[in-house]
Order: sequence, then C-alpha cells, then structure tokens
Amino acid sequence: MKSLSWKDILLVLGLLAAIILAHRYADGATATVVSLVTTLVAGMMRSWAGADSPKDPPLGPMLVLLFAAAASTVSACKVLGPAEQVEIAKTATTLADCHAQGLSTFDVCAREGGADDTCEAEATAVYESCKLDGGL
Amino acid sequence: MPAVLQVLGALAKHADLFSLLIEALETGAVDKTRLMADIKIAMVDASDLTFKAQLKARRKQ
Repeated sequence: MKSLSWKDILLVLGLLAAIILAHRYADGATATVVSLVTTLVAGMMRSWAGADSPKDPPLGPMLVLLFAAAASTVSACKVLGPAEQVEIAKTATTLADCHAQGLSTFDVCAREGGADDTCEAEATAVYESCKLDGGL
Repeated sequence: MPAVLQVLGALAKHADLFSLLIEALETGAVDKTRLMADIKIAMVDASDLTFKAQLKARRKQ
C-alpha cells in the first residue's frame, strides 16, 4: 500500500474537520450534504493520485465507505445511545480481526505453494466464517 | 470498473442509510434498529471490499 504524503494527510484532516464542523454548527441536512461531498472527494483523491497500480490496492471505494461510516457514526451519535455506539465499535473490531485471520491464512498458504486461487478461496472462507462467528 | 463508478455505486447502495441519517438529524427521532442494521451493512461492505482488494494486491506481489 502506498504511503500517504503530507499533502494527502492534510487533505484528509481538512475533510474530517469539515465533517466535524458541519455537524457541530450547520443544520442537519447541510451537514449531511457536507459529509457526502467530503466522502466523494476522499474517495476520488486516491484515484487522482494514481492509486490503481498493481501494488497499490484501490483505496477509493474503501475510503469512501470508511468515510461514510465515520460520517454516519458522527451523525448517529446524536440519536444513538452509548450501548449502540459500543455495538458499532465491536463490529469494527470483529471485522478487523476477521481481516487479520483471512490475510494470515493467505500468507501461510502462499508461502507453502504460491499465491493462487486456492489460497484466495481458503483466505475468503476463513474471513467469511469469522464474520459468521461474530454475528455479521 | 473505474474507481469513480465504484465510488458512485457504493454511495447509491447505501442511499437508504443516508436518508435515515437525514431523517434522524432533522427530526431527532429515528428507527434505531433499522439505523443500526444499515450502519452494520455499510461497515461489512467496506470490509469486504477492502479484503478483496488486499487479497488482489497480495497475489500480484
């Protein structure tokens, strides 16, 4: 994964600041539109930076959904209680754990016989079963 | 698929979540169960997409 330049980091911080400020000071509908626009900019930023090279996974869609989740969580905190917020955090932890399990399965398999379809299928199976175990 | 189309597709797929959030922000009341379910679906989608991209990148290395 390509490392972020200072310019990228500043842009991300600017976008996050826009989301937070909009939710703090603007009315609901405006804040949501600001979230949507910043989400789009963040998603396309990586494509503009040429993130589609083979060694650099397409971060656009990933960022867009992560930002959408972040914006949603910020908005939702106004209506959701602590119990629901803990549940969202638990979901994020479970997903991160499933990622780690799936990717380490792929790495072990790739070391033994080369990174092929079998390794990908094995890793995906581990990831999916982990999600099921976590109730997702 | 070009990244821009993927981005637009992802947003369109979760349009329901955004409309629920607008309702929540405007009225201060919303169906919490539905909102939680939609947030979880968006998170799982993001995770699936990222996982696939990471596997693809590892295969190409």
